[in-house]
Amino acid sequence: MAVARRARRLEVGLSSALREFLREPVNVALLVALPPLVIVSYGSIMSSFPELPGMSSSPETLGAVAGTLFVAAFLPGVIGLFQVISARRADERLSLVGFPRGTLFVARLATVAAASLLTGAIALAVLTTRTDVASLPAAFGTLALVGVLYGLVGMLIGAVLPRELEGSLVLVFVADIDEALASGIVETDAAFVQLLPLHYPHELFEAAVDGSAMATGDVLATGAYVGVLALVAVGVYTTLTGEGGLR
Amino acid sequence: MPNIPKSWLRTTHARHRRDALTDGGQRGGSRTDSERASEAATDEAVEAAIEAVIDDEPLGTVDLESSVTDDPGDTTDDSGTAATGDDSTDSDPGATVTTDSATDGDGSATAGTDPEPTDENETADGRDGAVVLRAEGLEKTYGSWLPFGRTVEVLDGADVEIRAGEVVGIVGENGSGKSTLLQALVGALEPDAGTVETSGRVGWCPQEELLYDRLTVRETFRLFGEGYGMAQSDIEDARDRLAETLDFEQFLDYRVDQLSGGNRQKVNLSIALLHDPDVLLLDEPYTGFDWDTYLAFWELTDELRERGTAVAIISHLINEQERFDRIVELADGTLEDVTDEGSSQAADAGVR
Repeated sequence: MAVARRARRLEVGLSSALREFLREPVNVALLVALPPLVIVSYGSIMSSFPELPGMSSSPETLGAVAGTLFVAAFLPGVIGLFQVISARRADERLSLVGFPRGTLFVARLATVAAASLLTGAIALAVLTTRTDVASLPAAFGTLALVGVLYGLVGMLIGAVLPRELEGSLVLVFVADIDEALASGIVETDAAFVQLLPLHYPHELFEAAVDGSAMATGDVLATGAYVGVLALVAVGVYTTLTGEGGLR
Repeated sequence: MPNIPKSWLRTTHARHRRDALTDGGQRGGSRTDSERASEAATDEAVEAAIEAVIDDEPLGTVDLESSVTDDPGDTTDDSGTAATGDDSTDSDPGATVTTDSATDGDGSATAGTDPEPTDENETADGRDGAVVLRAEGLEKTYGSWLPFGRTVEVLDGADVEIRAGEVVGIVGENGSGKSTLLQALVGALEPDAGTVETSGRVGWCPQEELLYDRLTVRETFRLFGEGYGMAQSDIEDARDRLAETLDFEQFLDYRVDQLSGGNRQKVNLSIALLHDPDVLLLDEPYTGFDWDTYLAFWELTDELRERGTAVAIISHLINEQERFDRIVELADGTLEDVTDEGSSQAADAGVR
């Protein structure tokens, strides 16, 4: 009985969250239109850089790879942020009448995951028009994982800073710096760089594109990052947005 | 005696009374005090008759609460599950919250029942009906951690008691803390100190419509019904009944953001009524209603009163104070019963 009710609530929560997302045409339009724009822009900007010895690919290709990773992270991050902020008050009421917060979180995360798959697929398709990708499944898997990772970052920011403008600014700043440091465009020896969300996924994605072997440590670190971040996000989300139950 | 549930008798009595009022062309707002007193006496007599009929039944032959009848307000499913919410556990040592709702560990409380009869069923002023909500010593101060922020003390030892079957008006000036009080009563806001005790299911209609803009009205009912732990058929029954009563049947497939303000408010109110609560707390529920819906609202409130639902309504309309059984005024963080003398706003306006 309780299991059936949980399943029904999850199904209703998921379908509601997805409907809400898909019924905002701007959301879907941005997911489709932004990846080509960002990837081509990154590639064009980097093409003016000189090709230096030791570079694995041309600057334009490196720029396109960086742009692909950035857009695959940033867009789901924004969706995660808005999923938490835009319906915050209604979520509080729904939680108050007894809808479990955890189920609500899963429904929101599932929407973010769906957006991650869509963004990842489009971004990868655009990248293949700019350069050869050695392993499409590995590249797609990495991009989808990056989407979920930044979707969680967006939800976390939305829970802590529930303001759309300020939250978006923080997110774009974090994602931009993260990708710049992960790609090596900005070189630094600081150890904290290894703690940034895109550090290990960037290594994985480069390996998927150029066909080199993926390091097991990078795979494990990326998986662990997603797992830990999911636990932190659900903890913060349920704590800061209140636990349900009308008196 | 036939197997007649108490709730059916009460509802039938309410219908008869409403029909009688309608036939006589009288609405709640136009009744005189003597007429209200006369109706109250009639109500008491009928209630007593109902109780007498029920009391004659041998124990076990009448399941007063779980019988499935034509009572349109009964939305419990076969398992009896209807109410919701985890038992609130207050982490604030200064504030205590208790409820008699039993939970199944899944965020859903088992069927709410009529409040337990207690020896407090009658007060010194003659009010009857069990206490279904009691708040004592509520305190709430809004502070700011930012420099130069303002600290506002809103509630300062507010006490309130609401009994089954009474309609209580909560009045007070703008900014006096009425919405804060209601949020503290339902559990949407933790008070700094004080206790809130409730019995049975609670329904809350917030002042601001807290709905999902891009879901349709039908989907909104489904989502909140799941939250309440209701069976799908019960959700549909209650939704259709409320849509008919408040006249928004034709908008069930509209998205919430495509509704007018008045229709959004109807949905907002209906969500609070969906699970047939025992205690209903409404924060200016008729904002944006047209006249017919406004009258339908009060008719519905009368029906709820007859069925024993306790209703508390935040109101600014001083000319409707005669609709309330009791009026409490929130001023300087405390509540005072002003039923006899009327609110200070009404006095200022020369009403009463």
